[in-house]
Amino acid sequence: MTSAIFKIDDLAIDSVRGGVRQRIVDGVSLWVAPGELYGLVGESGSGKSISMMAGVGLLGQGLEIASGTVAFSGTGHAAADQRRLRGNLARGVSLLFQNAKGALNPYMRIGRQVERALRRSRRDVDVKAELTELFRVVGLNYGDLGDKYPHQISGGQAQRLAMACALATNPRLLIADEPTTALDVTTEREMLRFLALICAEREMAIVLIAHNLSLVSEYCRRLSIMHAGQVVEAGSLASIFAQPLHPYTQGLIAAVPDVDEPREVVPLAGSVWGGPRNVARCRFSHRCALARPKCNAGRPPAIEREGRTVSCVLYEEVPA
Amino acid sequence: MRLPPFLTYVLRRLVISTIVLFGVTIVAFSMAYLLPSDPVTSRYPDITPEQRAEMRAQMGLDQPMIVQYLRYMESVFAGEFGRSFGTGNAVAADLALRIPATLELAVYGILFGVLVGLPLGILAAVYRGKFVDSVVRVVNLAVESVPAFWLGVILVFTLYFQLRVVPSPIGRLSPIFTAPPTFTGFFTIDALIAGRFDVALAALRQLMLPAFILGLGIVSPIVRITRAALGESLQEDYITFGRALGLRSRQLVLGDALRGALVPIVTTLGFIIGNVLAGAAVVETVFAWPGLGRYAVTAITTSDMAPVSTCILLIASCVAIANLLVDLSYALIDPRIRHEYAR
Amino acid sequence: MNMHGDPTTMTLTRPAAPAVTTPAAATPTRWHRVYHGLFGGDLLGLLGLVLLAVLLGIALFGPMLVTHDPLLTTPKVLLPPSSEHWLGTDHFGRDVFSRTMTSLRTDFMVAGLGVSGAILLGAFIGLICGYYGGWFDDLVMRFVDIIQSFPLLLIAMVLILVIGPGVESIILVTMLINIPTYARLIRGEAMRKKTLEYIDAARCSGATESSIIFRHLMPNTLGPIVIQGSLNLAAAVSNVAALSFLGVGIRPPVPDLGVMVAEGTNYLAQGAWWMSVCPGLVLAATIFSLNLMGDWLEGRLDPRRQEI
Repeated sequence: MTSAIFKIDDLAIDSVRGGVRQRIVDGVSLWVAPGELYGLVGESGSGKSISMMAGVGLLGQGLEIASGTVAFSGTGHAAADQRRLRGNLARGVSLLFQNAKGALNPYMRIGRQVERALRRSRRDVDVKAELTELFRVVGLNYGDLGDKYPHQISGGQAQRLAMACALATNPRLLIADEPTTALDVTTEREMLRFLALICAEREMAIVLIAHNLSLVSEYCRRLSIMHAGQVVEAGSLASIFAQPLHPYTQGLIAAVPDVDEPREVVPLAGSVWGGPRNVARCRFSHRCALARPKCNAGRPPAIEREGRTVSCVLYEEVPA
Repeated sequence: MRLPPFLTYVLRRLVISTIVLFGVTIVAFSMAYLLPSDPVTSRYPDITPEQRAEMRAQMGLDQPMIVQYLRYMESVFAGEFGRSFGTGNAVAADLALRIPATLELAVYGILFGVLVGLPLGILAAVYRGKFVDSVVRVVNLAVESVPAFWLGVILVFTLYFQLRVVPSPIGRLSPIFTAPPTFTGFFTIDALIAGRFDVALAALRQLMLPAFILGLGIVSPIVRITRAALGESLQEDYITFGRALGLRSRQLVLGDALRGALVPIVTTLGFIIGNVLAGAAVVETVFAWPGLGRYAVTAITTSDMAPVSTCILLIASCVAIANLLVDLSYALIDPRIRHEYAR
Repeated sequence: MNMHGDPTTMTLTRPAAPAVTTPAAATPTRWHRVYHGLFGGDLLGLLGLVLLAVLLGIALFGPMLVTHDPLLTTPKVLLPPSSEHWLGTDHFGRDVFSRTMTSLRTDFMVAGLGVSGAILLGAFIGLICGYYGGWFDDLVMRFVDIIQSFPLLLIAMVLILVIGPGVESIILVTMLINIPTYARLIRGEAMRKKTLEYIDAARCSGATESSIIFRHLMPNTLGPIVIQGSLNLAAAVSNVAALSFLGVGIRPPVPDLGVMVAEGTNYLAQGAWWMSVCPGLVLAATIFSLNLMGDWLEGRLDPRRQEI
């Protein structure tokens, strides 16, 4: 664990709007090994993006860090010190967004945009050659596209370009926030394959944030599953899929149609944010068929079991 | 023949502006023609009906409307705008003196307004929701609420009559100085060109207070629009992505985000500039500035037709030109607009 | 001179209220909830509301509050403020305080009538244009554009030439200046809403076109109208006073704040500051409170500010 390139401990974030404080991320912990493709899965609004943004110092407006530490390459800081964490962005951490076209500056030629990212982090480098190479790596031609503006290229090209910008800083960690959600299925496949490729080639860790469990399952060896701001189960993909322990994970897997095994698809009942908000509790309890009073008595403990961590009172060892 | 698409855009705007201006001439002229009060009797209230009829014939006021309009348009294109009954001079001559005065005032005022307003707006946008932002907003609101004419009167009273800190509000130059030879019409610049630094300084001192008040009226809309537009721009994804790439905050705010906010800001600026001739009227009245605004106001109150219709035409032209320039600038700012016509 | 409140036509988002963190409390206290519910933590809004209420009260009950006849000339010329004449007397011996109170009423009324007329006419135009569209919409909107781009003074000049100076023309000027704002506002709303499903549903259930327009489209536009209304009112009051100051607006002997300031300027050299300062102060306070209220309303009613 000490060799983890990225580590978040007990991150808690509150939303403070109109004077009302609500906890939206409640005790998230995870760690990513160098060169690993890590998955972060959850429904919309589960807090996965916010957690990662907070982890790199890009916490949005109206949000406050309640607790937690973040460590990159061994150096840890309080999560509340967003400024310090932002410093990592130029030195080894990069991001990729869902809305690629929106992520590009509409007023600047795309060649120049990648160049800016390049110059920011690498001083003594042959810019022209590097740019051409970067474009080539993401499958684009610098000569053709360098002078174009973002509105003149397609969505897929834009995503590749955003990738080029992200890679320009030569990061050790890339946080990809639902990079394929806005793409069509074919392009999505290509993008993910590409991500897996550069992850291996450059030994660059990637945190792949997605809401599609099956997608993540194809490429990630380890993952975290989040629900309503809490991590419910985390660990090796193999063990989680072989035997999902948390009721939510079970529900997720049951909700995915399986081509090989025709069975009844059971969607999850309820909504993510039902139930009391500012009480320390398991935030799945209001949707859980196995809920018991203990679930609402406090934050569920994180229990190590069979190659993963599960946060559920069901698996608490009962003293003999 | 296929014109470059952007050129068609420009031409279309030009054509529309011209049509509007023609419309304005008709309006200006017919308004004056339908004058309820008679320029003759307003100047010579004790005139007899016969003398009045004679004077009206002399001034050509008894001709049919169309004829008068055509004559009017003729003179407009000849650069002759009639004669003011108030000053007795040709309107063109009156304007030649007054336009530079207002222009000089306006330039300094706008400069002040932009140099103060823009940074304040940027500050408020960057520190949105924080104390700085609240302060800027309240101060801006207060400044916006204070009527320019009253502020002018107050400042003249306290700073001149009571404290003698500023020169007396008697116009562009204190009588002990003679006006510099005309190059640009701007006393400050002309004096410098002529090497008369004392005159330049005196002119500048006379400009201080009126330009300040004029500029103050401009600061408020600029702060408002900059704050709003930049605030929105800063929320855009590409700014966050820029941060994610490790680009420096200052560069992102002043370079990227501001560029994104430029369209509404330039639009507002265009509106301000188009209006400034009219807006200067108040300031010119308070400070006895021999400018266009005061000229127009006097003409209205005395029903002096020629100056009124000319001023209407002039102001409308300014607005039209300002709008056109603003539209052109959009293409410079935003490549998406530039290319929209390339389809 | 105020640029007829134009920047408000570009109502862009307003920031969230400054983050007030309840120290470790999970549920806000009752007082907090009322305070935040009512004012969104915006103290300024409260201030503006209070100030406005005071000024409105004065305007409404003006005639009952005056201490002297505002139009009566006396030989007691140019007296400084005293216990008898709270704000002194002017060059005709008239009580400045009473004149100020009456003028406030006049200005409020003129501005109010002008803006109300603008709202009614503008909304009507906007509704028709937005709902029916087509060449009519294009033509009328082009016309509206033109009016909007012209400065206040210009339109004042044109109108006053035709109708002559006085209260009516100023009301008309105010109306004309502000119509484009509301026309555009309502047109936008109408265009957006006319395609919504509930309109189709209403049509299916047999509602007539006009009832659709009035019963379904209009209520939704009330919020933006109120916001713009108060901001425009502030600008209108300012403009009315400015025009009157220049001699182009309300003329004496009708008491008006701008006129009072103008008259006062002639006596500044003699030190009679109260003639100009006091009416102007009241004017500034009125405009300020109207602006505050409009700003506050914008913060409360702007749907873009609604957080989930």
